Amino acid sequence: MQLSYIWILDYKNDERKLGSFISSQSKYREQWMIMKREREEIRPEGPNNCIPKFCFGFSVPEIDKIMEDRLPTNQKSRLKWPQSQAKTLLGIDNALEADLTGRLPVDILSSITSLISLREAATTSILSKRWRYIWRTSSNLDLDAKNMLGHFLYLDHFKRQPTQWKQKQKGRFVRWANHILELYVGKNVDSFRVEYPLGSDHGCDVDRWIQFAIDMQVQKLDINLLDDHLSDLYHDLYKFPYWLFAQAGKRPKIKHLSLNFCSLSIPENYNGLNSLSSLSLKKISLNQENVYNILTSCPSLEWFSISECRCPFRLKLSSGCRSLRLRHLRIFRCEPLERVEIHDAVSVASIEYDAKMFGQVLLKNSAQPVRLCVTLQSDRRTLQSDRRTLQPDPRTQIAYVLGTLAKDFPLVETLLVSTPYAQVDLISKHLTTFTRLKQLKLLGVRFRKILLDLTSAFLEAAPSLVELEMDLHLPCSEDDRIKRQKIIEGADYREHKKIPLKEYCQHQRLKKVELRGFSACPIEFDLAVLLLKNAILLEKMRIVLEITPYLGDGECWVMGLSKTKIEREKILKILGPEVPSTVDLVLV
Amino acid sequence: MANNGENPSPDVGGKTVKLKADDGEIFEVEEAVAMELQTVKSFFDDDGVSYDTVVPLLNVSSTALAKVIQYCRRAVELRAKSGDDEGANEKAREEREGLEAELVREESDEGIKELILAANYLNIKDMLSFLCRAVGDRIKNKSVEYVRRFFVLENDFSPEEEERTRNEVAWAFEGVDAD
Repeated sequence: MQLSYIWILDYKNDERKLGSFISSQSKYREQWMIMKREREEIRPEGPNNCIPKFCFGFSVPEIDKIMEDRLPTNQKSRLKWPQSQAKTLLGIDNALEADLTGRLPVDILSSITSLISLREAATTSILSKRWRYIWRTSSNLDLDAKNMLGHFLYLDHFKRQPTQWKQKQKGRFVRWANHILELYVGKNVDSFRVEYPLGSDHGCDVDRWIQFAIDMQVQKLDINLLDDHLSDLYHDLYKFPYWLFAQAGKRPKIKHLSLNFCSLSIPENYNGLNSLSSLSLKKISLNQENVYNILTSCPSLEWFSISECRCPFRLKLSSGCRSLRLRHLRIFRCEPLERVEIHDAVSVASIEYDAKMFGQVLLKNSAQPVRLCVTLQSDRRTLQSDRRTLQPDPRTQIAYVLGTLAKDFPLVETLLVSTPYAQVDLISKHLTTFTRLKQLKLLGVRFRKILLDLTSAFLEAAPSLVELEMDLHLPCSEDDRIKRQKIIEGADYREHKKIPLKEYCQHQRLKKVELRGFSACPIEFDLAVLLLKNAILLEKMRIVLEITPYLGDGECWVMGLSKTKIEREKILKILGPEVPSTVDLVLV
Repeated sequence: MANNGENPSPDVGGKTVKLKADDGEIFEVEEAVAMELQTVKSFFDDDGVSYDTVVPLLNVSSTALAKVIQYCRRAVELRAKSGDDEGANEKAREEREGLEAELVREESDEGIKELILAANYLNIKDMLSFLCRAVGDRIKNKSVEYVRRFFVLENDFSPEEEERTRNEVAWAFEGVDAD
């Protein structure tokens, strides 16, 4: 087999040719698939399910704990920055002696199969007689297209549009899922996930799957039926069968529920879901009554995240006379919601909301959050229903963040400002001070022209700042590209520009800076130099080349490198001379 | 069997516990570290057992026990370091992950299996969980033959049985050619 490995590695630049040859030779097929898969993992492309996610956390220990708890055991790798694993096929031959005493007990083998994908776990059934049923006791069940089809077919699967084909595929998925559940012989499922664009079809089957999960004492349930192509989004959705959870004599176990594209309308003070500690809703239609009922029925709810849901103009989060145990609240792109009142949330520590609700997130009798994330709106917004005349203006939004936010939330220690599409040209100089702010993350920064001004303004507004993170998505104009080539090739940054450092704010406390999505645009070098020179106590600067768009709830995608290949050594060479001796520069 | 690492010696002054591996080798460890091993903890939780008693761990080899003790010792230290301070917590967590990664990186497949058996018998939840994850990572994306060799398995299916099992999970083997 050695020869074939070398052959494959030699031909890695000519995949297609080799691919078709290899596929025709069954004995190499498996190795070829493995190699292709490994390379895909290094360059994430394709549907969202393939892009690695990174849960960077909340800087609030109690919420970080919930975040970890919510992750199924086979997704715990999301807690770490994804490492590109360059596995070499040639490392396979460890001289393995036939040591028959090394038999691992069945429950351990079952834990191991729970940690690999369902599809791979199923292939372990042919290893030996003993292994035939082990995968069928896995504690994680992920019923989705990726497991049904495998990585490569999955990439093509959703590209086809014709409705007849889609209907047929839905049937196929349902049959496959039913087959898996029939084969299952375990007693406990920790995490049960269904993800397929069924929309409102096959509701009875989904009900049965949920019943199955409940019978298996599921703790984490995730139902995602999102069908992107349905035109009328809120018509006749799948009704989440909450009634299945209140079964006579059994105490409900479920702790984490995540729903996408269903309808949820539970009665007030409903018992079945009272063990829920986190609830995450997407594309669900909510009204004041639903929300009230949810909060009264889930007294232990600590994490509540609603995104892209249909909500009324005003929403009151309260559960009557009982105080809310909420610690983390996220409201993202809910239309036409404008105002939220949070009552009696005595432990609320983290709130994430959209800029259009600036000044309209009111805390009544609640704690002041220490962590805040605000998402600025872009100029172009797609509205699903009636068009509102209110068009958000990124300029006023930034002015609000720098001018008024600190007054509304005076205790904030960690601030994330996420700016998906906004292009801003000027900032007003009206600043208030964030007296307690220690950690600032500017995510999705696209402000090229005022990048340095904006950074300086934030530094001025946050004198106690210790950590600054910026995730840069800077577009590079043609001019910039030429300049960048010159800088990279000639390593002659110094001749390129002299930054008037005195015009920008000097900072007395900043110790750590992280710049992500660094694409070696000239302005990014300017930014790095500004921070290196003006932050007097700076200890560490970390530059990461990957772009990391924020997903909310303390999580981001790690989207691989930008299109231009920039060598780390070149960047180091260029920035090296600008780095003061007290600072540690790290390139990831 | 000779102990190929140094026999980790305990701090002077604390209470220690003696653990005996399968070949008779005795390991003396601090009480806090020994209590990480739930099996040892429940051994002493029984009434009437004095802390001087040597705990017999007949199912654990001395090499594995040495590594387990080394890991638990560092884990206990790291846990003591992380207090309420956010930064210290983060750092301790990173160090623990580094420790785990280092432990698994150097182990052969046989070594990892041995450690799993030890961690299972000694009932050390955290250690068992990262070891299982390490095995999961090692067998992910590997061929059936590789996994068979990893676990040292004989294909004891009869041809008909194998055929039947393959049919049950045929969908998991499909997908080489396009739809």
